[in-house]
Amino acid sequence: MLKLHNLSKVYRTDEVETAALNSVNVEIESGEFVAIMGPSGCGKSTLLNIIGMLDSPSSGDYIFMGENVAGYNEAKLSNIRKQNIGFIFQSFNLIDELTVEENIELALLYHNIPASERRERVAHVMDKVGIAHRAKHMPSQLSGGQQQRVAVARAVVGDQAMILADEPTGNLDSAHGQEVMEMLQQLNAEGTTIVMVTHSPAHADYARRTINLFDGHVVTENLRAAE
Amino acid sequence: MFKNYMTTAIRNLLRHKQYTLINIFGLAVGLAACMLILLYVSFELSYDRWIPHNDRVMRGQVYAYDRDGNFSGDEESIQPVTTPLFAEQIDGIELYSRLLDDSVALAVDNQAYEQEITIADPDVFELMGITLIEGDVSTALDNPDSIVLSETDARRIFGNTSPLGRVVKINGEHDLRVTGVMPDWPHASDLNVNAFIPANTAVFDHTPWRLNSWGSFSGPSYFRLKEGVDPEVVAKEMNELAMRVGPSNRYKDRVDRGMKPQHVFHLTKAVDAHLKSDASGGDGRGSMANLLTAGVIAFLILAIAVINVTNLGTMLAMKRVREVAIRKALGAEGRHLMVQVLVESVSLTVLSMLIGVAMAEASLPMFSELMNRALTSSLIYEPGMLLVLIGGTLLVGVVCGLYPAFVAVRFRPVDYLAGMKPKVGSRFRNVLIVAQFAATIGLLATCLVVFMQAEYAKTKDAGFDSSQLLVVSGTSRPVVLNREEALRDAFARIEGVEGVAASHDMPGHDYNNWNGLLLDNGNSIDVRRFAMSADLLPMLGVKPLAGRLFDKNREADARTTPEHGASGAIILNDLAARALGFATPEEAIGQEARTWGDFRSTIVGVVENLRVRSARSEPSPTYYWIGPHEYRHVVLKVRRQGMADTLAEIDRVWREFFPDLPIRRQFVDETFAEFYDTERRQGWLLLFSAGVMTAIAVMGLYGLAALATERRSKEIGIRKVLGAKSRNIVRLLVWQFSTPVLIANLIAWPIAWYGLAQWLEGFIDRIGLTPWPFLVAGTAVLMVAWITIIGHTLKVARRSPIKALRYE
Repeated sequence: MLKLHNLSKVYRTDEVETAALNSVNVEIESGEFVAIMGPSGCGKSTLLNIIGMLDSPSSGDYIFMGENVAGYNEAKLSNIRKQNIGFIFQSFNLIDELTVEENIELALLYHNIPASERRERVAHVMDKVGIAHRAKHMPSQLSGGQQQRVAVARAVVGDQAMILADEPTGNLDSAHGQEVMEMLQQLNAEGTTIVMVTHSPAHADYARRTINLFDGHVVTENLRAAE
Repeated sequence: MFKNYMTTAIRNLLRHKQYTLINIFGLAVGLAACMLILLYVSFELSYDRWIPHNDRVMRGQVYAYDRDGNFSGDEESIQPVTTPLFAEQIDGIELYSRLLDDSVALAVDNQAYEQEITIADPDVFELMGITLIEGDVSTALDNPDSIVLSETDARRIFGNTSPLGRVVKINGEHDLRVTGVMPDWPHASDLNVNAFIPANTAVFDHTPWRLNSWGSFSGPSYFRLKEGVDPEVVAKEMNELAMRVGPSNRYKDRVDRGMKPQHVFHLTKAVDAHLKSDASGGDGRGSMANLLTAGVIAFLILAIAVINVTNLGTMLAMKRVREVAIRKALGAEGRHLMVQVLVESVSLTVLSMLIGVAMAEASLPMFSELMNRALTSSLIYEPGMLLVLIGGTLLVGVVCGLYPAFVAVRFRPVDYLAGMKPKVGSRFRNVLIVAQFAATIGLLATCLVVFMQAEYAKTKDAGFDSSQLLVVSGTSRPVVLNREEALRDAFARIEGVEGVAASHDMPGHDYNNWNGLLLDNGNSIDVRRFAMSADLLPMLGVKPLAGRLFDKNREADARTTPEHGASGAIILNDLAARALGFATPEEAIGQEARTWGDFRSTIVGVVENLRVRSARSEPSPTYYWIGPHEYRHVVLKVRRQGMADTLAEIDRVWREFFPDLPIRRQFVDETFAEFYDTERRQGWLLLFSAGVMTAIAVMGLYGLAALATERRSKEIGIRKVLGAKSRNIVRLLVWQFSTPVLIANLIAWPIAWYGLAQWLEGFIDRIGLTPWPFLVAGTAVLMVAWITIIGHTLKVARRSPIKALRYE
């Protein structure tokens, strides 16, 4: 699916250079479920942002589905991103002014899909994550768990091949957290590649592989035996 | 997708109610102001467009040259004596009419009315495209004793009965028959016609020179040229004709001596009369300069409102970085966000426009009163205007949204996800605030100066004591002039009348007689002659600079014959004395001067230049003389006590003398005030605009301050934790927003100063520019800004710091 080769990211301010990622080499296969772990400031989020093409590496290669996208401009990246990648954030990042339904539809809005088909797909995915009865509600009227379910629905409604989840359970209590993890596992079982940043070893256990980062380096990769 | 944009737009507008209100109100006011001014401008541009075939309807004008051959002015008319002559001799002229205004007394059934009339030629109906409500266009002005009344005047005089065929008595001596009733003259016209009287009427036999002198310019002449005829060719033929048949001393002799003739004829389009003529005559003329000023003000008001929307829009866009980031992460491209922001700003503008139309409707009566124009709201709903409004709304909406859209497009989602706050546009925003306040301060300073000038001109020393002076006009009509002396005697006997005199000229009556004045040493000047009775100057409180005033007891002073235009004694004004080459007023005393036909006069005195015109026009060199047959006014000095009784008594005496003529009287101070009516109107319009601009700009500033304090709440929290008091915080924030206002002053002052200096140039008597109005304007705006900001920041500064820090 994707391959990072010698990838580095350096943040520069006027005087200070901070290396957020240092020669990272990672390969993720199609249909994998990968967890990224590590202490605060180790570069997890930077790595996820680069994989999600929200940010560009300072050096190194990023081969995504056979294409080296490292030097692509914003417009090109945006195009690849919207075709292939869905996002789930720790703080849900739903738009407060839009209803549940409209928030989910947002992910289809920029894809030139006719309105009728959009409605169909949104309805389908709402059923799937069990939020259909809340379709007309505003995000502020939902619990955290429900909001994250909406976010999951939004991430998959476009049939994206890969979902990037940045601490999807960070703002949830354990019961809701587990619910979301099961949902991700289900999606993975249906063939979606999932890359997830998490602090929780328990939730990392849902993944088949864990990448441990420390100070911008990949320290270890643990493969869990298939059950 | 569009539906999604609209939903977000509406919900966003509702969510930020405060800012939405500021934006909508500001824009609505701005658009309303623009609409009003647009109406005014289009009304001004429509003047005389209703005349049929107006592309070839021309007004005759002459360039005048003085006795030395120097250009002395562009007269807005030709001599009425030449008009029929030209029309007859020049093939290119299709139709013509003279339009000479006057006012007469009109009596019917023992009721006397004041009636404005216009002397015209029979072609006038076809030329102006007038159809009669009653009567026959082709014969209405054929008979010398006919009169055609406007609908309103006909109803005023005859009520609901048909006036056709009725006989009216004019000026107490001429019987005229009503031969037609015409619709009221259009408001949008440089001409103002209430009734027509044919040119061969006997009513004006006592002033024959108006229609037969080659030196008299008593009103405009209009021509319709034949199709395809070049106006310049017609003008050339006019000049050739004048050379052949005009008085040789005015034309041929001068040209033979290598000089310009006294008058060079040329034609201008009738439709240009309103805007492109010399506007110094007042009487509601417009000018391109006025239109430009109005346009600039409308643009400034709108610009200030647009700046608000832009500034608040960028600030709000920052508040919405999360939304922008999410949309971008989900695949929104630049253009999507661009369209989204523009949809929002256009819907805001559309809403504002609807409110603006209502505001414009509501304020139209006041505005049209202020501009002295008959504007109606039906003008808003004409297709052309509606198209402009819709186009304008879209344009304004796009302009408002452009920069915020740009900010949204440039913003990178990863910055938000990484917890960064965008700082885009703060410099641009500050530039806009400075521009806003510079315009506001500049306009405020301008309107202060305009008011000061109007006030100054009004109270400007006229060279005489104008208080308690009452002018009774219309005494040049033969029936009055015959008994004028007796009338004065009767007035003088009224208790409460302190003095009575007669005069040729008084403020508010533009009537000029010119003459040559020649000294024995060969010095000569063109000079105004001003007839008055011996008692006028003392009554006006005029003291001689040298010599003496007229003396009733010296018969030689008043020695004159009607045709000479001078009396045995004459008095010069200071300008005339200088122009004749006298170094001091004393030098002139006792000198002899010759006028018409070598009539010899002795200069017995020199006085200050008396001001009888507005401060815009320069006083002319003038001599005063005793000339009873040129009296046009009786001037009375009325005691302040028992004024009402005295006026009633004056009216009664007049009625006794002339039951067929209504009395026309006005206080001189009122006339002087009318001179500066235009300035006063301008002043009010400017003040109103400046007020609106200040309100919009300050509201915008308030919005920005509110958003900025919100953005800086963490900083404020930290400062408070470290021990800052509310006072320190307020000072910090107030200072942040005072700087642009202070910088705005530096920009506004020199520009306003320059513009005002130019404007004041137009006045002969003018105030000097001082820094005061500028300081006052700057300080006032700063104060209003402070009050607004302090109110809000104090609230923020008093908040517990924990709140701010917890949510960061």
